[in-house]
Amino acid sequence: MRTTMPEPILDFGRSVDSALQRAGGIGLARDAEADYAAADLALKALSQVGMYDIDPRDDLDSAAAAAELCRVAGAQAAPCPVVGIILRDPADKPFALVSDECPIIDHAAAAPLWRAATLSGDVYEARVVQRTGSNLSPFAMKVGLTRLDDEPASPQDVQLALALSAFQLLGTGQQALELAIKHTREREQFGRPLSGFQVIRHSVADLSVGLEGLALLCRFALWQIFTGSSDALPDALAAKHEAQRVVRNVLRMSQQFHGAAGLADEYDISVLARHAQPALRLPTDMTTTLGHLRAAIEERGFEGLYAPEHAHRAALTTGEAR
Amino acid sequence: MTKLDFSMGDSAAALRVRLREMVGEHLPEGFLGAFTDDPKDLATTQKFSRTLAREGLLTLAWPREYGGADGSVWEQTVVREEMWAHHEPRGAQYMGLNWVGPAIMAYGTAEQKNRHLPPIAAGETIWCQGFSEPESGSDLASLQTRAVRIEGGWKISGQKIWTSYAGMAAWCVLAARTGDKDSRHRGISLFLVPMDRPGITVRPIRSMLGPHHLNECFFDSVHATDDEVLGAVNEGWAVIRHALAHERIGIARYARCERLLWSARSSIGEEWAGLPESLRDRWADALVQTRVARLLAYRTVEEQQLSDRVDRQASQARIASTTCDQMVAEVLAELLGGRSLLGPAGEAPLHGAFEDHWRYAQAATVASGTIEIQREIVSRELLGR
Ligand SMILES: Cc1cc2nc3c(=O)[nH]c(=O)nc-3n(C[C@H](O)[C@H](O)[C@H](O)COP(=O)(O)OP(=O)(O)OC[C@H]3O[C@@H](n4cnc5c(N)ncnc54)[C@H](O)[C@@H]3O)c2cc1C
Repeated sequence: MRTTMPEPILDFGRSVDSALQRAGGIGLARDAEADYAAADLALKALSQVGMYDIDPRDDLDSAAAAAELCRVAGAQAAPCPVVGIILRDPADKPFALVSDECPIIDHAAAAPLWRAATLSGDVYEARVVQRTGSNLSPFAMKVGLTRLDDEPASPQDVQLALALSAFQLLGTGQQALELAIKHTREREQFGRPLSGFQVIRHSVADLSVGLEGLALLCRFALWQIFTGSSDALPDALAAKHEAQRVVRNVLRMSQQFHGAAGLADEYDISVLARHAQPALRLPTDMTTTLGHLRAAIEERGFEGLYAPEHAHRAALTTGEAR
Repeated sequence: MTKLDFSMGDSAAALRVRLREMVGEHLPEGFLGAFTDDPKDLATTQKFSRTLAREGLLTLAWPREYGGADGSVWEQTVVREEMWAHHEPRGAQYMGLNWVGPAIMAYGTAEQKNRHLPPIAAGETIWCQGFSEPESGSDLASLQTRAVRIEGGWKISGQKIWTSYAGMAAWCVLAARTGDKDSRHRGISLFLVPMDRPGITVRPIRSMLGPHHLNECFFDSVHATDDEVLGAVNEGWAVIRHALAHERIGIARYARCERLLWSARSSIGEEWAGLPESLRDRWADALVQTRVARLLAYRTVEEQQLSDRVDRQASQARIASTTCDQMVAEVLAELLGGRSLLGPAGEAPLHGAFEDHWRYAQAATVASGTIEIQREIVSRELLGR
């Protein structure tokens, strides 16, 4: 058993982190809102550490490297579509999961054309229509979809897109909790650091449990994608749904513990909370993702200690297993 | 490079198959553990423990020099999972195996080891743990049961409470104050005393955990010899910490949760599709939470091999598995609707396993250290004192 990332992958993550920090860290996201050219600095930093050389479809280690890059990019709110770029097609079109009802892609402006797919596997070509104009998710764009009559999207691409997006959110959540810990240890009220108040201490403990659990669930999903005996869609959806649930809460509470400062753009927590919204809400929001997850588990089971074998599951649906 | 790998290995997988076969062969249908109204259930666990002992599986985790099998940590994990998932058919034995035996190995005299380890290994003695007192729960170091030196030994007086299995137990690990009143953890000693010693009275506490689980124990000038002190006088706290370290990973609650979630699914059969989607969604989410709790437990086991300092990880795992237990209890109750209220004697689905689970889940966030104390442990590492 090895539930943590291999050491070389962690080293790689550290080099991605220092490259992004040297380029400006979370400040890049802030700068890009005023002038999108700042986004190029993030892309350049990521390209120098080898983002374009990783193909997560190759094997588990490559996928782990991609995941670590996405996690660090999430922690630094890197203003570029890392998951899409990492899953680009042979024609260099980035890949995104979309909902066909209201197709939105974060950082869609990074490429003229995208390859897009719905969770059910329908494939489209997507191009930018307009900015959302939202302060909440400044780089999200409405896209227009043209249905391609290709084969359905590769299940591996769909699963990797879900899992990598979960890793990106994980990084955001970990960074948010770090910021909350730092802030509550420094800021004093009533003559003592905020971190001395039990409400805050216990809440931080619970948030840390959520994030540790999410991290394991994400790594488990990657492992299932490459070694599982069956389709890993439920595993990938579980990681994405848990990321939506946990990270939303971590961001909310971490912001709360900053008081009014948590709303001010000069504080990183405020930038993280806004820039995480597209990953939190796309391609489907939490409750809808859970519906997909449930349907996938009902149909395909859920790897564990007591999940019934496939044949038995089929019988469950028809009622023969009573 | 070492890859991510979530498998437990072949020997653990084979052990799981073997344990499931034994459970299928030796436990009656609808078995719900040792602490029911039916005395046959306790007898079943005693017999099952002896069967496991004969197969060399009861002390799988123990070192060979004490008659164990030096089982790998993953084999031990499988035992924890399969036993808890099947309503702990070792009954009260697991206390002796999990920590009393190991504590005696670590701190006991040669005589104490000879006397106590073989019967524990054979599944023949039930032990109880006399730590908590009416005025000392989470703050265990404040305990006031007193052991006073007398000629030829000690005289112990005081009261213990919430003592699991005290009514069935032959022996007790009793924590008493041997230092002055305010000596806290520096003045506690542990005694290994037989429960039939004069001066000990046990009174059962009726509770939602069934008639035989919780008890009060009164100690009225109970005599103990010097040979019965475990570890050094006034250094019982180190032994208690050692004991708690063995309990750290805790019960594999997630295993029973997962099993029951799938059993509920099959017992509902074709009516499943008629349940509200929001409820089925919660069932799916509950399955995810059992996976989260399981992976957090595995991570603790993994890190425990590298370091002694896994307090934070162990408490995080405990927080996840105890809250998961209660979440699953609610989901199961809702899935079964009114049928969740039927008792084992009635037409209860799966012989009342769901009702049993709900009752036990309520204790999950209190027993062996409350969830608030687990949060204290985690936040101390993340935020400092
Ligand atoms: C099923 C079961 C079996 C048990 N078996 C045994 C046994 O065999 N032997 C034995 O010795 N004991 C046993 N216990 C007792 C158990 O160890 C105690 O119940 C536990 O340590 C809590 O103590 P308490 O019940 O006195 O609660 P208290 O300590 O009074 O706590 C009450 C509430 O206050 C909270 N609280 C306490 N201190 C703090 C703090 N500093 N910060 C925030 N909140 C706090 C607690 O978390 C809890 O929510 C058992 C308990 C149960 C439920």
